[in-house]
Amino acid sequence: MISFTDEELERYSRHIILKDIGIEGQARIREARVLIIGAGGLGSPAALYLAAAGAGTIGIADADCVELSNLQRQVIHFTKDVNRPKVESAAEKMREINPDVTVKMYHEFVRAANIGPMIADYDFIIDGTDNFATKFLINDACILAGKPFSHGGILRFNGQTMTILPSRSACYRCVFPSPPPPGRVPTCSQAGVLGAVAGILGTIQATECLKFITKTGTLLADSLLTFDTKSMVFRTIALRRNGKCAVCGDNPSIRELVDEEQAGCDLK
Amino acid sequence: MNFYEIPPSYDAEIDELERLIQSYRQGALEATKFRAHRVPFGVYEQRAADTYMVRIRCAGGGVTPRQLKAVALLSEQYGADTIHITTRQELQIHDVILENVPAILRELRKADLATRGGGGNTVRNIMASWDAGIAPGEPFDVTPYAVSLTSMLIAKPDSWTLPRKYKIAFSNSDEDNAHAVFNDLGFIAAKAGTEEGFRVYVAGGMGTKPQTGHVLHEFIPAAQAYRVAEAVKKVFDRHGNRKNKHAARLRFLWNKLGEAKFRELYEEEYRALEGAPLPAIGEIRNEAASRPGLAAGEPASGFSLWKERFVSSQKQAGLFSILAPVTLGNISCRHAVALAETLETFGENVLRCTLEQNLSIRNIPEAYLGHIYSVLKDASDLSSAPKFYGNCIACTGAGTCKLGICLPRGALTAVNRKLMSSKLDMDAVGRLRLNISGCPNTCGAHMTADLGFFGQVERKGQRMYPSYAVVAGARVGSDAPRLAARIGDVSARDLPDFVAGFFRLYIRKKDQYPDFAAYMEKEGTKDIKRLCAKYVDIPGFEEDKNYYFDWGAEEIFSLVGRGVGECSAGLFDLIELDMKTIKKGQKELEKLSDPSASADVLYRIALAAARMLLITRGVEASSDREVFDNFVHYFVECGLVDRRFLPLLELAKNENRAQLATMKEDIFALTRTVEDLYESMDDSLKFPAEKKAAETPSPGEKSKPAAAATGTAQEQTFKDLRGVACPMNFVKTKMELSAMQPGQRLRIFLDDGEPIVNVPRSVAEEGHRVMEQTKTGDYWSVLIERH
Repeated sequence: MISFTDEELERYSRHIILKDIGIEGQARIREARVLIIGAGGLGSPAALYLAAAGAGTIGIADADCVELSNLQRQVIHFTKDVNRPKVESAAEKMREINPDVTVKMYHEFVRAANIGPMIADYDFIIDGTDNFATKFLINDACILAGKPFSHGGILRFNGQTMTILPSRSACYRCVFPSPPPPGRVPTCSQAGVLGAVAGILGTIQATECLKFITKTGTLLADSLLTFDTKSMVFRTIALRRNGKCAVCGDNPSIRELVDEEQAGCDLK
Repeated sequence: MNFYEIPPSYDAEIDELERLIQSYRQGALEATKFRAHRVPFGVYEQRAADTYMVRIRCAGGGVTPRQLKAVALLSEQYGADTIHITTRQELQIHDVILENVPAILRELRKADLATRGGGGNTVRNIMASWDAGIAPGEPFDVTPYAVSLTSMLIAKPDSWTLPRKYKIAFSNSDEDNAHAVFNDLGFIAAKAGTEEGFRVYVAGGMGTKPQTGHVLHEFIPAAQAYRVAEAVKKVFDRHGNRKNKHAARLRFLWNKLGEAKFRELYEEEYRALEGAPLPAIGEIRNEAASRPGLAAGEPASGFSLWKERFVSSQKQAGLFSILAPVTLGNISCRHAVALAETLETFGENVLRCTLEQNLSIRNIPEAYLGHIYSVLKDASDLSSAPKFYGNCIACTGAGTCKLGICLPRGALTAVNRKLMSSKLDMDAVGRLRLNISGCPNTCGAHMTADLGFFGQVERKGQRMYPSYAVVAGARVGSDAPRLAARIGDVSARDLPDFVAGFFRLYIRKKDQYPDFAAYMEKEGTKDIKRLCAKYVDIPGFEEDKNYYFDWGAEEIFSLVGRGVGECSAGLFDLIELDMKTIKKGQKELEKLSDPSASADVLYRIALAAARMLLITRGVEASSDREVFDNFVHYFVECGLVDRRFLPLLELAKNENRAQLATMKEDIFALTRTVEDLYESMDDSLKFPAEKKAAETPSPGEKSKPAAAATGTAQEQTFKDLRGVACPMNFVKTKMELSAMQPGQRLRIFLDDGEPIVNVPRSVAEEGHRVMEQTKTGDYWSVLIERH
């Protein structure tokens, strides 16, 4: 039988009274293990909401330290955290929001060599990274390991996201076969980004994650959500799995992971 | 000797509590259910989470040296390094962890001390005059009656499940120094010819809406005291209000039934007890121990002044009683042990806790006073100070109490520091009582004080600051008991100066009057009013931030985070504050001719009207705009306030003062509407208009005939959700349903009002079947079949 303490019942009462979540859903959230890769603009809101929601175990991976220029959009870090490892800063905030949550920190770059064991422990992965190389690495690793994940990307006033259920829905590589050539797509440092856009997208990713965990509603699987906040137009584009996809297609050419060279977001 | 007999069932009750503690720790027992067992056992949670205190029954304040030592050693081992004396003459051990409670209770049991009835809706500690048995001129010793009544009542199971607490006190004379007329039931010793008996008072009490007791019997023979107490208990048990905790004390029942009906019910119970066995009344001897075994030594310096202040002779020739002042009722375990070991030599009947939170020592032969002095001098600085200081009372206030507004202990410490550093001769004020409570509830006994204060909130601009209401002139004593009257207000910051200023006046004038009451009658009230006027203006926040910090507080004064929802007292204060603003504004308008100035005043009135009742909805708006938005949301949209005020509220929200200036009539109509709502508000902060909505079930949830549910063999789970607010009652209902199989049934009890409107509807929306809902008394019983 599911049991909750009075304190838990009160803390999660606004979830529990939702018909679609209820006691069972909240119990699933409590059992859930979620990995957030990147404690930046997307990872911040995702981590805050997942911790607040009572996700049982949250992993957070990031090799960087907090910089002053991060604070404009990476809302989990505060001014006092500048120069501190992002994972430490984020873990502290999550524990403060909700002491029930177990937080695991990975203070390292996510690479072909370490991503496999890292994601193996989790039920759902949130891609909150800022560069194409890692985004493709996460996609490929999750497909190979059969881990569902949420892709997300932001630039200037725009954002896009999709949820990938390996072998059931289109993957990132089905839509974008390979990273764009370096220099073709501006990084945040060259193009900038409206801080609140990160908040919108990270929160959508957290929502998808919670929907997946509680088996609620329809996921953004086989669909790509893009939006432009200047006009506030949101669009969903239907996708289909690509039989020729290099990682999840009928004859996949990618069977093991490699690191790709790519300029990261060097926004200072 | 013991001051009461513990019933044989007590050991099993401790075992049961221990089992419940384990079950609570393992998560099998809900906190609220556990609390319902724990509190009547005298085990309270302190403001710090998961820290507890244990309240120990001391009938008539009596405790033997052996018992005092046992309590002090237990506290040293398991709790704080001081033990506490309460205003009900009990001892308390603080800062205890739950796991150690059973061990503490068992050790106390070995020392013949029990904690059951320390809290909750039970027969509380029975008080008696601190000088009963030794006071010259008393008709007889009342202590044995307090003792035997305690032993009888604590052996009865129905003493633990009353509608609310039941407080009893015995005074040995009309001076009423045990405050019998301020208890639910009070006995005052009297004689009819040579027969010993009592004048009996009923339905007095402090707390919210305090009142003095009514005479129930002019005289009853002393042996009948038990019968009276039991009969009153039965009336209370059968007819008391179990639903509304805030109107549950015996005095509310008296007021509701009226004197005639109350008496009728009482006489019935009293007659029914005719012939019931009455307890044997023992004798408690006040005498010198035969072999004190101490060498009488040279008294230490300061002895004669101390003797003058604190020692009085008893009716037993050659024996003396001593007042041992205890700072704020806290005595260190070390000093308590030292005192107990000294007193042991003088026998067992040597000690009482007093309601001023001091200790009173008795039956000491003159030759040993010096000895006692040296022990007491060590234990408290107050033994070297005028008696006044030891007699002051301050409740714990917002420091540890969830209802507290101000910090009266910090305030009293500041007041005493001020008085001690002044050149005032505080010996001259004699037995004057200065009492401070942190909120209008009278735990700090301000309503029985000569000069009393209770904590309240005041506003300067949008900022809140701690303040005290000044009350004075209580009369204790059965000839014309009177509660203190409210005279004025003073900010917490100015309190020490105010008190020093008052005593300066009083000491100068006192010789012109026979007593304090006479002074109060003639000049005192006026003096206090003048003093209050002197302190009425306080500096703004930028000028002097000290006014916005309470005494002993580290943070700026605020009610937020102190659980405003729970704090009904502070809540009424805030409402009254806005009412005052409205009245003041309306007066100002009469004098104003300048239209732009009146526009400002009108805006202020509209703001106060909109803000006034927001607090009843748990809303603390942070800006004027928010005030208006919330008012619209909580009062207009819910139909409590007419929609015709919407345009006015919109203008006010946008601070369109020019328009407001032309809408005086509308604004006044709004304030009348809000004031009427406040008038109609009941004790649970609900308005009749809300209830009406609750009583009309919507079509989808009409009550099914009861027959549909009767006779079914399906397993039924039951959950009492009365007292659980929305949406937690729904959450808990879902919790229960989730553990059940489809088709199984759950019966829940829900409060009237919001819960009965919301919960069945939400349950039905989730696909479960609401089989029936019926009103039983003041609550609803709802049967649900799991989907």
